[in-house]
Amino acid sequence: MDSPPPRYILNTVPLVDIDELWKGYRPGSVRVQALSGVSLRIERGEFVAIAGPSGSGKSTLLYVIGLLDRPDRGRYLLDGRDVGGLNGRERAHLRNETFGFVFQTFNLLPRATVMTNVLLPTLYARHPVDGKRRAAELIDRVGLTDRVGHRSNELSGGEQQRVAIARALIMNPQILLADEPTGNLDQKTGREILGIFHALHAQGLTVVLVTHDPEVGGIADRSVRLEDGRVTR
Amino acid sequence: MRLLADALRTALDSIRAAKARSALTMLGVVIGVFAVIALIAVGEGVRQQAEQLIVGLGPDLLAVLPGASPQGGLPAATQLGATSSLTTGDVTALRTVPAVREVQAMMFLGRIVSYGDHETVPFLLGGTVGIERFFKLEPARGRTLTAADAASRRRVVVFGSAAADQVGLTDRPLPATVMIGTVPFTVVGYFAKSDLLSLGFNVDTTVIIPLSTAEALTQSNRVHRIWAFSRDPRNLQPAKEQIKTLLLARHKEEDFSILEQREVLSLLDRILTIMTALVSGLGAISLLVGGVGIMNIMLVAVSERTREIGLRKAVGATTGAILAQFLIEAAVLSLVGSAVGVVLAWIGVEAAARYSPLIPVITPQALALAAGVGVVIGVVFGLVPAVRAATKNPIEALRYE
Repeated sequence: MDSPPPRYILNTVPLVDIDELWKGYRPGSVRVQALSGVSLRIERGEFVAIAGPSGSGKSTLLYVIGLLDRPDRGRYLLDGRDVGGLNGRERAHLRNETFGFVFQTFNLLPRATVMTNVLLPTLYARHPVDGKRRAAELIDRVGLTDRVGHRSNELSGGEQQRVAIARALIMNPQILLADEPTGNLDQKTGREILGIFHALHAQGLTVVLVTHDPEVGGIADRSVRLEDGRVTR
Repeated sequence: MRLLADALRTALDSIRAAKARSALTMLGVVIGVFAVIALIAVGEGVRQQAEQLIVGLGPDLLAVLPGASPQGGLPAATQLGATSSLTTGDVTALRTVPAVREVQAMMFLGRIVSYGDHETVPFLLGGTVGIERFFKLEPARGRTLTAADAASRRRVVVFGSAAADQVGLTDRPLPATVMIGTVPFTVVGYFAKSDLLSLGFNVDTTVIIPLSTAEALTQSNRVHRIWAFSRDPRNLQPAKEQIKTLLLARHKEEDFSILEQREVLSLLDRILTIMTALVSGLGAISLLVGGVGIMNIMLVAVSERTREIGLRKAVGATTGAILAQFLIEAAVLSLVGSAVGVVLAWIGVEAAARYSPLIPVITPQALALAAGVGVVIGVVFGLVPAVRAATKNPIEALRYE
């Protein structure tokens, strides 16, 4: 098990505390063991890179952390709370309030404007949020103020990923989860996007970033390496 | 509320993005709603006109029909051409009933009527004097039949406008001679074009000869309808009972039915309700096809938007929220289709009212039905696609290519 870096106070509860997680899939006729007893702690404010070759289970781990996927076995404490027994509705609310997702393929609503896309998570909020103002601030922060009325399919890849980041932040999440966020971008644009993650982390946001690119892992506080569903480092 | 607004926006977006596809999808619902609304409107129009006619004949009218009346049902032998149990002798006898002030009768004849080379099979009837008012017919030219015609069994005839057209009589000077079967008759008048739309036949194809002449022509004393008017318009019971007693004495059995105006009305109502239900059933089949179309397109949409569904779940949409979104989309498609169908039906009804004797009536109930059907079709047929969307695994949905 990873021990938390010393700069975190030891008796605080880790934000993510995963112990002996197992997860298998059966996409075809062959069973794939994506996670084989993964244990991981992520402290508040950390920037963790999850690295490893494709098929190593890193995306599965990210989705389990983000409550999009359920492990077969193992314990997951989110901010000290066991989330293993939550029903679909409670998990959906936690995804809405606690996590922000950024994907490799951006996943914007193509015909909707930048503003509508950023506001999407507020539709599913349990409590009303002043979304428009916050959305405008976030769009400004990712540098897209002049694109606010554009439809997302009129934007470049880098711009789309900026919209996705603003969308991930709209509900003021505790953790930003990114799955290969630079995978579909050229090197220069990818660096700009990583710069945004870096800045967000500097402001105190917890970031978990999945990548197979060792260079991307370089900007993180800590890299966790997965191979064949096991943590190797 | 925000979810509803989002679902509506998304639904209208999808319709806009694939206009042709959406239009084709909605076509079934459009046709179905159009058919149901238009047919109900026609039924309602016929009902209102027929009621006006029957009510217009007066509240003191009693209809004597051949055939026994089953409990609350339609007398068996009311079809045209069926052998009737009523006779001209009954008509004469009924005139002596104290509580009855007037008796009218009709005999339906199936005869070819010809003028020169033209021939037709009109709605030919032998009637007592004044029978034309049962069809709201009035002479436009010449005269109608008189007591003198009846008394002398004259071979005279009055033509409805459509019947006159069919044999090329229109604009011919009076009197003209036509053949009814092989017997020559003198045309003494033409009826004006009727503004009445009647049930099952065009009133203007009516051709009337005196009942006494018809009796001689057919060698039969059978009549198919007798109409008796009560002397007391408020209390029809004495007339009804006296007619019944008299006919029972003459027939030795109850092979006839006596209906009051409200019974005739309710009978008419029942017949029309059945007719309307039957034709609306045809519209309903089209609605069913429309519903399947919507289901199909929604399944396609759910498949196309798999990643969107995954994303919405990732950002916190519950299963219920996704379900609601796709149900609303299906309902919007179906409602827009219904609205177009209603508009088409309305245009059709206006056109029918202007260019035909038919005056269909769109009732508020019919509109409510259309709106209800729109939502129900959308929700029922949208359910399978919506459930499919809502239960998608978010991970697989996000990875969907």
